[in-house]
Amino acid sequence: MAYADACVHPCPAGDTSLPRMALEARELGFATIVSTGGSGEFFGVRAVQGVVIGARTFKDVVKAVRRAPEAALVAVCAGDESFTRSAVSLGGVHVLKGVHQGPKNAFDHVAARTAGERGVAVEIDLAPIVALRGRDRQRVLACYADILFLHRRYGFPLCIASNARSVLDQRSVRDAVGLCSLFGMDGDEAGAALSSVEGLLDRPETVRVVA
Amino acid sequence: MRPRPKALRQKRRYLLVRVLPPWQEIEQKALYLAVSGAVTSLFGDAHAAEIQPAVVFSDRGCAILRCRRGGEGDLSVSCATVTAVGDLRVALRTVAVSGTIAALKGRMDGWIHALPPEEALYGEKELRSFRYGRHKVDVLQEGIKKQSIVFLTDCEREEI
Repeated sequence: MAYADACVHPCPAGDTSLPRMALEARELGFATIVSTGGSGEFFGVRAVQGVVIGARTFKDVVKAVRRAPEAALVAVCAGDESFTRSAVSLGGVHVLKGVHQGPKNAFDHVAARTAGERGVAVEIDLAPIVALRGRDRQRVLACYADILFLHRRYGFPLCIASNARSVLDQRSVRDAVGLCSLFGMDGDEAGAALSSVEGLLDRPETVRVVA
Repeated sequence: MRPRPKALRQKRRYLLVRVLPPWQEIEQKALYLAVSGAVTSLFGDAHAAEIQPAVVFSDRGCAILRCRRGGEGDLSVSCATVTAVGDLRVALRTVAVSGTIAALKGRMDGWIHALPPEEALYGEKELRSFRYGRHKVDVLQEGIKKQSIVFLTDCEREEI
């Protein structure tokens, strides 16, 4: 199985260049990384262009999705209930990001069903599990456990991202599986989530109006 | 106190951990406090007492951690949540688990350990850099507030 890190932020967002992140990802067991800072192939690791859309209104999301490059993996940050439902039903969106940062009902059963029908993945961000401590981390783990419950019920894909801005933030495949086990994800589910990026990029899209 | 007979001793497991960046000088006690803090924060005092984390050896970019048998998975996950030792930003990467220290020290023999810094010209500036592995170069930059590290590969001198 070719594992993928669903989001990294190389220079200028972070302190590490994209080739160095790719080199580190190869050592950590990944074959693909989704990068917000360019694309290409470095040291045998494929770097896919990723676009993160953090818009406030749905209108802005639609505009940003239209502007995104064709081969890019488009991720939209979750917002309130209605915003998230609209985002997952929009064609051209591959990943719903930052559910743990949104309000309590940012991702509910309705959004989960829509995501399952349209094949939109929900991102499990490892950065808060690694970086946060105490109550904040407990809240994130509870949120991920809730996403996992909905994933088992509605079958939408999951993807795992380190959201690393430095090589020091990148984690290995084994570490990612271990960190995911903290909120109840078993090894097979974690393996499927780590290898879901290829499927998202090859997803059959509906016809897109670009102008 | 007399040591217990072998049959009554607790079984231990040892983890070989790579410390990144390998050229940072890290004290064994500071590393222990970071690992112990991570275990306690993640699993609570009760489970941390069961895991019994300890740092057996630490030198030049690698460390050997000890735990009770059965706790190695949890200790490995805890190591993944360590982001700093004291004031230094580091990452701990678990490389191997074994029942003996000797086996892990044998694995360390082929490693490229920390190298002395070298002065390298990046653009017009002469900066200190650490070269290790086949392609990795860490460059120290003097910023307005403090020193920062830029992680590059050997073919990217124009990045700075």
